[in-house]
Amino acid sequence: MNLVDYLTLFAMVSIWTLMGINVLLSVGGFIYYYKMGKEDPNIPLKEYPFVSVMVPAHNESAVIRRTVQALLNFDYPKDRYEIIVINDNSTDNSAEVLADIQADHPDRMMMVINTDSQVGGKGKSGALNIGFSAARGSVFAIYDADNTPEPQALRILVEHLMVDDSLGAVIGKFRTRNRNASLLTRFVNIETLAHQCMNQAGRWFFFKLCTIPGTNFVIHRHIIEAIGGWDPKALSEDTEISFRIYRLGYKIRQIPAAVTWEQEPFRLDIWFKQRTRWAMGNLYVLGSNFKYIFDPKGGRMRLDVLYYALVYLLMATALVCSDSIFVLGVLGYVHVSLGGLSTMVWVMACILFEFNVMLTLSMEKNEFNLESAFIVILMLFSYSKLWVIVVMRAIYMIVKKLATNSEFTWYKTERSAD
Amino acid sequence: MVRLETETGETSDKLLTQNSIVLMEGENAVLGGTLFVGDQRYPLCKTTERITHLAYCDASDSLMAAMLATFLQAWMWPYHNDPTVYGQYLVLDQVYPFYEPADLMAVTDMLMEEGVPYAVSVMPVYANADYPAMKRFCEWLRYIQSKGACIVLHAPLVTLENVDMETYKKQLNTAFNAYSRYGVYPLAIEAPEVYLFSKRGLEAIQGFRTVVLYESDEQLGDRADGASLAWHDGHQVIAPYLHEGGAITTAYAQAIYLNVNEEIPALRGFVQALKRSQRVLKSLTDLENSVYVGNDYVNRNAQGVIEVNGELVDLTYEPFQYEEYKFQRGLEEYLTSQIETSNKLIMAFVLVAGSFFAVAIVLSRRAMKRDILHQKRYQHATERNGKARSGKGERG
Repeated sequence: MNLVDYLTLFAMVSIWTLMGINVLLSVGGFIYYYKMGKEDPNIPLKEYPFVSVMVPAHNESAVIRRTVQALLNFDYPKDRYEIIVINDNSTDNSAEVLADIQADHPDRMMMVINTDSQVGGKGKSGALNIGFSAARGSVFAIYDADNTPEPQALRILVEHLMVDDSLGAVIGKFRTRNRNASLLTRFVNIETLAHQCMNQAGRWFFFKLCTIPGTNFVIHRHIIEAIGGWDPKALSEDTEISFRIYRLGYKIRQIPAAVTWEQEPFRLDIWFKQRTRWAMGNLYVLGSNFKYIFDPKGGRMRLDVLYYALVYLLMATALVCSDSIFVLGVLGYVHVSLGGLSTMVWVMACILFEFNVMLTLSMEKNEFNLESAFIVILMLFSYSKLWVIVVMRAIYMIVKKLATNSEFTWYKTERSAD
Repeated sequence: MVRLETETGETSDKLLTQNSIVLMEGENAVLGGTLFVGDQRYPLCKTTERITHLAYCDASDSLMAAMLATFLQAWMWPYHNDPTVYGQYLVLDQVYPFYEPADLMAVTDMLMEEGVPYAVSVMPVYANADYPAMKRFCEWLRYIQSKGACIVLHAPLVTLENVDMETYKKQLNTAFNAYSRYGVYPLAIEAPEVYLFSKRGLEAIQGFRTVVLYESDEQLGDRADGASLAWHDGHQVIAPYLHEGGAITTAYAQAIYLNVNEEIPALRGFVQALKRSQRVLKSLTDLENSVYVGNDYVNRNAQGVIEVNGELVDLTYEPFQYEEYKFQRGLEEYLTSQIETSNKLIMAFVLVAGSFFAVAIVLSRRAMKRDILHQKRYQHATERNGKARSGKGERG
């Protein structure tokens, strides 16, 4: 047995372990979606709480009008929610656009907070903390500046949050608004549905765990106060805040009927930067919470820490090993002497991946077709490999920044008018 | 008046026309026949070294003619009273221990049915000779050995340009012991024909009196630069049969190879064709074989008795006893077997998960048609819109 054999074995065991976990989550996700689909998502309340809808925005003039318009169209009682747009150190004409919208709707409670580089420009967490200081609501709803939530989304989220005291936050589902813009957005659309929404549903179904996706969620004010606001160091503030909510003993639930549509990166360079930030942020959260994995007091949160460790460390490493050995093997540089490795098993993995994703797509309108089936196969051999590069780059950047003791900088995803 | 009498008691009376006296030195052997002259009884034919004397000859007499032919044959081909020592030998070639014994048994049963002698050339084994598969293989060899088959050991395969002869001999020793530990005694070696023309080649086969050759380019590092030296060592050399047309009888011994991977009917057809031909199929056990390997000396005489280091060996076949074998596998082999087992589990897992996904897809598509997943939320949302705008909803 040589090093290549050991790495091959490691990759095989890791990949199939994670494949098994993924299948399990998809099974749970399907059952949860199916049950939720049969239930009435509306739970009318006697009295609706006052909600502060916060939208952090940095140079979002291309999309902000559409976003605010969608927020104004919520079917939530108009006198029971306010919209707070934190125009965070924008250099474009976002302030003018927002002022126009305010002028057009003088009867609506809408606040625009314009910050400069002295106060703002510190990333999404900083902007949310600024909005938090001005907000009046007992419940906060957060939307990204590129979102167009469906009218009932906020109401459904708040209704479910208010009827269950064990919930600290409720998240909705997000869909890709510009899925036909490019092949990349088709990939992102499928990834969003299969690996973010479905897995979230599966984790909730089996373990009562969910991670806040950064948009289209509601949270109690007292929880934000208890945890001291958003962590300005966190590059993925959503994951970070999720773990702190877990630690307070609250659950986070996903309600698929509350849908928002968001714009996804349509260019590879934009996608690459955005995903690197996510990966770095999630690794930061993993690093700061890893200690809880051996702490019984960590409760079920430890499962989520383990899940993130499996995905970002084990899965990424296993795929790097597997792909490297495959490429070097084809070039004749390495040879695997381990017997019993079957091509059929590899084909089985591809078939399972295809079935898994197609199940998710079968639950959505206009997604389940032959074209999608082909894209899923294409995705397996292209998009999935990019994810590995993203994680490796994120690890490299973290190590580099720690070595040079430099600060992490927030990358703001570029938007386009659609 | 003389009377001739054969060994079987047939007689013929003749008139004696001439007396002659022949003096023969040394030990005289009687080749056969009796000559009666009055009350006196004399041997008809006696021989000593290269001189054979026939006391009476009348070729016109049929009985005498038959006896003359017998005496001539014995005079010309003195070994074992056979007309030729240059026989052809059927050899089952390159038989590996991992072959299914039942399939091999079917081949040798067929050969025994056809009544032809044969030898089996087994491949050298250097490791794991205690594995059950090897034991089963040797049980089959032991059985056919008891039925008169001769076992031939294939020489260690050579892939290097310059072979270390010490290592080579150790391999040969190991391979021989792998079989002899089960009472199977290879009595000949099968080696590339080029070995006859190189000193290293001769060194490789020197322990075996009987050598079966096969065509190969395998060299032991030194090239042939002259004629074969094998005869100087007293080897009995059996060349490969290469049918290139022309005469089918030759003046030297040949091995006719059979491929055990062929179907039984094809092999049987080939054997029957051989039997119909002029070939003289012989058994390697007709030869006297001797083997020196390592510290062992194995000798087999023409009567079929095998001695190992001077001790007689019982060749009677007794079924082997098998005990549960615990494989001392290395980590790699252990992992390989685990992976093979895991492959089956993964297949089963994919089958179950795939079936679930297929059913789930059908269910969700049916649900989609009924708009269970999507339509309901819009309907209720629309109904609630009016009430919600007033600022108060109603608790369900």
